[in-house]
This record gives sequence, structure tokens and C-alpha cells, in this order.
Amino acid sequence: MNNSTASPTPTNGADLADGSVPGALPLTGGSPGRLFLPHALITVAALAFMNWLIIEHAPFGVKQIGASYLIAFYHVPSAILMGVAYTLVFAAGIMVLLTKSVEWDRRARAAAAAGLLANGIVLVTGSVWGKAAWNLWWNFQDPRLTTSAVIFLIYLAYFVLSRGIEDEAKRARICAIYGILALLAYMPVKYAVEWFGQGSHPPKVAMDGAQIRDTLNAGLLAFFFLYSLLYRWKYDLDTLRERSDAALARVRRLEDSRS
Amino acid sequence: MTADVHANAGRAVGVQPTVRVHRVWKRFGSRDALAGVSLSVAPGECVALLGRNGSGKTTLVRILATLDTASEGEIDVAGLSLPREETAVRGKIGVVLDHSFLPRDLRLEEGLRFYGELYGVPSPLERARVLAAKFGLGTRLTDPVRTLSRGMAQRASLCRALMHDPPVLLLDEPSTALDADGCRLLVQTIREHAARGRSVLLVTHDLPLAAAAADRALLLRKGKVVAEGAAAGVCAQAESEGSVAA
Amino acid sequence: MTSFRAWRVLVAWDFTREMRRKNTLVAMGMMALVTLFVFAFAIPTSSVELDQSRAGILWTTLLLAATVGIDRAFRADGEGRLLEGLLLSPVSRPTIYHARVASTLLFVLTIAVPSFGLFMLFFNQSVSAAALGWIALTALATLFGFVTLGVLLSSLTFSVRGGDVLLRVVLFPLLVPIFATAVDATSRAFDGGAPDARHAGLILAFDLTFLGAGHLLFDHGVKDLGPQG
Ligand SMILES: Nc1ncnc2c1ncn2[C@@H]1O[C@H](COP(=O)(O)OP(=O)(O)OP(=O)(O)O)[C@@H](O)[C@H]1O
Ligand SMILES: [Mg+2]
Repeated sequence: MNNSTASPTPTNGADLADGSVPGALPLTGGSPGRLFLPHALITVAALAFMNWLIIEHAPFGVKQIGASYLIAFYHVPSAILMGVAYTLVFAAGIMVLLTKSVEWDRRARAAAAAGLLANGIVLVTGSVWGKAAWNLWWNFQDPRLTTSAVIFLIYLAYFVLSRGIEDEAKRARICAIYGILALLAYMPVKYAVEWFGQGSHPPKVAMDGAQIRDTLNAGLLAFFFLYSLLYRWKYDLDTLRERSDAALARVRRLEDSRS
Repeated sequence: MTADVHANAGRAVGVQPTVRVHRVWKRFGSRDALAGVSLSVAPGECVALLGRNGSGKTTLVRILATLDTASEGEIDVAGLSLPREETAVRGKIGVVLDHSFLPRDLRLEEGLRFYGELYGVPSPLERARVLAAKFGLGTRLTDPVRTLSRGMAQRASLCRALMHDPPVLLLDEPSTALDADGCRLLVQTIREHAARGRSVLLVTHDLPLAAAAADRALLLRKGKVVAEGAAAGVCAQAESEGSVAA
Repeated sequence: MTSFRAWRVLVAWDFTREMRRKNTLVAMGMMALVTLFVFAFAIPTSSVELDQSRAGILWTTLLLAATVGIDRAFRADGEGRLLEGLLLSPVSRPTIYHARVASTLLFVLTIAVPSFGLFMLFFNQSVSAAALGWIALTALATLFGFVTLGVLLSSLTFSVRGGDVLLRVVLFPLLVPIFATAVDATSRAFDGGAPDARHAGLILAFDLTFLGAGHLLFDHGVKDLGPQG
């Protein structure tokens, strides 16, 4: 994740000099990667601040599970933002179907990527927590962790699907529909796992008190910066890839028409 | 420019065209398969659409057939606008594409009857038999579709498209795999259809066929209409274009 | 032509078509048979543990067999080109979807019944009439859910290269909730209990959600298939 995405696609003036080909040059539009570096710096700072709060500000250890509850400051914000990201995939999917624009497909894909990272962090932190609570790295009896795992699988399949379809417009349409279905499956997954999974009940930790709330809010902000950074990175990268593909196709067609 | 000519031509004789395509674009990614095509087909007219491979003919037919949607432009078919009234348009068009669309495991008469029922044809089996007999398939009615030869499948495809006697016929390379007799039948069918005040859009590489069947012709090049007029003249131009390219 | 008449025509002809060569039924039946055999070797068939895993074995078998049928919902005839013929006809898109759901469910049920019999036979099970009733009801509602979602996803993947694998990759995770519910309900029925309102609620909610989604989204799925089909 470096700032190299900020440089615009090099346009070879010599190759494109012959402007006789109709159709808009697909190299115009917003500049991908703008303000990427500041965004990254803010993210690092916010994460550092959150960690400082966790260490210095939040009470060390609550009853039942002791210090291991501190992992919740990573776990809870990620779980919330995961939900936000997946809702964005759903909304962008509807926009794809309404506007038929590939632009929204890129947004959906970037949101899915951010959601998947958040989901991954939810799984890892949940697993660490489970290790502390039950001395097990993985436990299908924890309904929340199991639910997250199923959701992870569902959105992992989103990327398998999107990679499997070559045609751009078709991919946009199909992934949009899948993104809509994926969110519709969330509630059934949650209840099915809770009611009919292997489930016992996970340890409930009361997370209140002003200091805990401060720290959680800081975590929410820090992780928001992190996931939006990933969103932008993925979105800009896909934009650049699409533009360079289009430019290459144009160059090739120009060469064809000359020979 | 051609579009205006058409609008005027339609109005001048006071007939509403059954197919009206106005500045239609179709983009696949960054490639323009259709770049502002305009054309119209009047009732009782057969228009041939010519052009080299990849010039956008099939793309246009599929859009008119409501299978694909145009990126831009206006389209009316049988007085209904696309894509808004596409379900109603589907009842008014008969389409021949590169596949017969008949279920392989059904008998020919069953396959045709199936489509007859979908289109609400009053007595589909009779209609199927009449059409099959006309296209020389009378003896193959009870054979499974998969056992038909390619030319026979093409004839069956024409039967399928004609089952509901559509006001508009869209034919994409209907003479593929047809023998001389089949081509003659095809021309005869098109002429009869047009004589009954119905419209035909005929896409073909078979210039003699186009000259024999069509009243007018258009030449498409890279998604644009580059020539139009009487069938004979445009066919000649299409021929020279082909030889220049080769 | 009303939608209902068109629906009937489509279902009737799907059935006639399948009865000619029974390719889909044979493929589904073989899948069920093979899966049951694999389980017979993978799991001790006479032990107490079987009592805990029998519902899972049954549902895994039904899932794998049903998926074969779902995958072939559009692929079966002429590599899916037949669908274009239907799309050309003046039948609304939702009607085409509902008809394909109905015919696919019909084929899946046709295979599910003998598969259940074989399962009982292979694993030496016996159940009361009441339990059998609960299992049948659960299976009907659950397989309906498999098919409503499956046919929609199948319409998205059948024209994609490697679409058969892709279908399973996207279908199985989404089926987890209804699958888990069905396993639990069936397990209770085997143990002499009855499924409760939560089972019914979840399965029916799933069925209706994805039937509605299919009704609305099928049209978008089959648009612009492209000349390649
Ligand atoms: N689904 C698609 N995706 C990308 N490009 C496409 C697609 N369909 C058509 N094209 C492109 O659109 C252009 C027009 O194709 P079309 O099939 O309409 O040509 P055609 O005039 O029917 O040619 P032919 O005489 O070979 O049948 C071609 O350049 C083709 O590559
Ligand atoms: Mg073509």
C-alpha cells in the first residue's frame, strides 16, 4: 500500500495523437490516489491514539475474563464497520442495476474488500478472545464467531464470482445481484447459527463506563479510517486498471486501423 | 443526417414505420459496436442490412429482439418503444438467430407447438404442421429436433419465428446452411410476408438473396450506416467493399 | 395470455422435455446414491454416533443431489441457448423464473423421495409416521428454499465459464441458514420430537425472501447475455 497509485496513467501522446477516433477519451475524470498519503497518515495516527487509550485509559480487566477483554476494542468496531461496508455493497448493487454503470460496481467491489478485511479482523480477534476464554482457537459453539465465519465465506465467494466473469458489464450485473442476496442472507444466518448451531452461549461482557465508551469511540474512528483507506485503495486501483485497459484497447485499435 | 432523412421519408408518405431506430449506440466496454445507427422499416417492406463481419449487424438485431439493450438512442418496434414496452414488443416480432431455440429432445412438432402455446397461437399443432410442410419438413415432424441436419434446423428456426405470424420479422443470416431450394423458399416467404403489409429486417452476407428479397438495403461499417438505398445498388457497393477489404 | 397459463405451459413442457431422456433426473439420482455410499464408508453405520449425525448425512446428500438439478436448470438443453428462445417470447421474466423454480423443484422432489428411502435402508433407520410427516414437511419447505435461491443463482452462473463450480461456491454459503435449520428440525423428528415455530419461521422467511428476490432480480440476471449465449 504505497503512494504509487497516485500517479495518473501515463498517456503516450505519440500513440494517441491521431485524435480521429470518436468516443470520449477514457483517461479523463477524477484523479485516483488524490490525498491518499494524508489519509494513510491520519489512519496510522488514529490507530496509535486508540492503542494509547487502550493501554492508558481503559480499565485493565473486567470481571469474568480479565485483561483479554481488551481485544474487544479491535473486535467491536470492526464488527460494526463490517456491517456498514456490506450494507454499502448492497446499496451499490442496487445502483448498478438501476444505472447500469460500472462505476457503482467498482464501489461495490471496494466496499466488499473493506468489509472482508474488517470481517477478517473480527475473525482473528474473535479467535484470540476464544483462546483466552475457552483455551480454544476455534469454537463452533460460539454463535457470533460462527456467524462471522459464514458471512466471511459468503463475501469471499463474492470475489471468486467477480474474478470468474470476464465481461465487464456482465460482471457488474451479476455481482450486484449477488451482493444484494448476500445481505439478505445475513439475518437468517445469524438466527440459524444462534438457534440451531452447535451453540452454547458465549460469555457476555458488560462493556460500559465512560472510559470504555471513549476508547470504543476512538476505535470506531481509527478503524473507519483504516477501512476507508482500503476502500479507496481498491477503488482507485480498479479505476486505474480499467482506464489503462481501455487506453490499451484504443491504442491497439488505432494501430489496426493504420495497418 | 440519415436519421432526418428517415423521419422525413416516413412522414412524407404518411406511413408510420414499424421499425424505427434512431441514433442508437451500443458499447461493449470501450468498443462501440453500434455508433449512432438510424434506420426504419415501413409496413410491407423488406430491408436488408449488409456489412462485413463484426460491423454490428447481430448487435442491432439482438437489441431489436429485446435480448440486449442499447446504450443510447430511441427504438420503436410496431408502435411500441423499447426497452419500456419490451414484453409487448416480444409478441409482435419473430426472430431468427444463430440457434433454432427448439428443445433438442422434443419432436419437431412438439417444439413448434411449445412456442405456439407461449405466443398464444389458437391451434398451434395445425399451424406447426402447415409451416413445416411448407418448409419441406413434413416428413420429419415426429423426429427429435437433435436429429435434424443443420439446414433442416435452420428451416425449423424459420418455422418457429413464423408460428405467430408476427408483424415484424428479424432475420439474422437466415440463409445459413440452406440449399438452393431453401433459399428460394426463404425469398418467397419474405416476399409473401411483405406483401401482406408486414415488415422484414434481413441481415445477410448472401448478396443475391438480399437483392432478390429486399426492397431497400443498408450498408453497415464499424457500427455506422455508410450507404443506403435500393437493394441492387447497395449490394453492388457491399460487393466492392468486400473485395477492397480482401 | 395470462401469466398463469404461460407458467403452466412452461412447466408442462419442462416436464415433457425431461421425461424424454431423464438426463437431469439420472444425474441427480446418481449423485445421491454415490454420496450415500461415501457416507456409508466414512461414518460407522451402526454406532450410537450415527444417531447424532444422521440428519446431517441425509441433508448433505439432498443438498449435493439438488445442486446438480439446480445447476442444470438452464444448462440442460442446448447449453442454455433454449433460455434465449424463452426470453424472446412474450412471457414476463418473473413467469419464466417461477416456472423454472416449479419444474426444478418437481425434479428435486422426484429424486429426494427415493434418496430418503435408500438412506433409511442403508443406515438401518426406522421412524414413526408422525416423524415421517415432520421430515416430509421440513424437506418440502427446505428444498423449495434451495430451489428459489438456486435457480436465481443458476441463471447468473450458467453462461459463465466454469459456472458449475462457481454455482456451488456462491450457493452453499448462502444456504447455510436454511440447511442448519433443516438439519436441526430433522434431527428432532428422528428423535421423536417435533420442529418448533422457530424452525418454521426461519425456513419460511428464507423461502419467501429469496422467492421475492428471484421475482425481482431474475430479469436483471438474464439481460444482455451476449451473442455467445
Ligand atoms: N458481448 C460482446 N462483448 C464484447 N464485444 C462484443 C460483444 N458482442 C459483439 N461485440 C463486438 O461488437 C462488434 C459487432 O459484432 P456483431 O456480432 O454485431 O457483428 P456482425 O455484423 O453480426 O458480424 P458477423 O457478420 O460476423 O455476424 C464486433 O466488433 C464484436 O467484437
Ligand atoms: Mg452476426
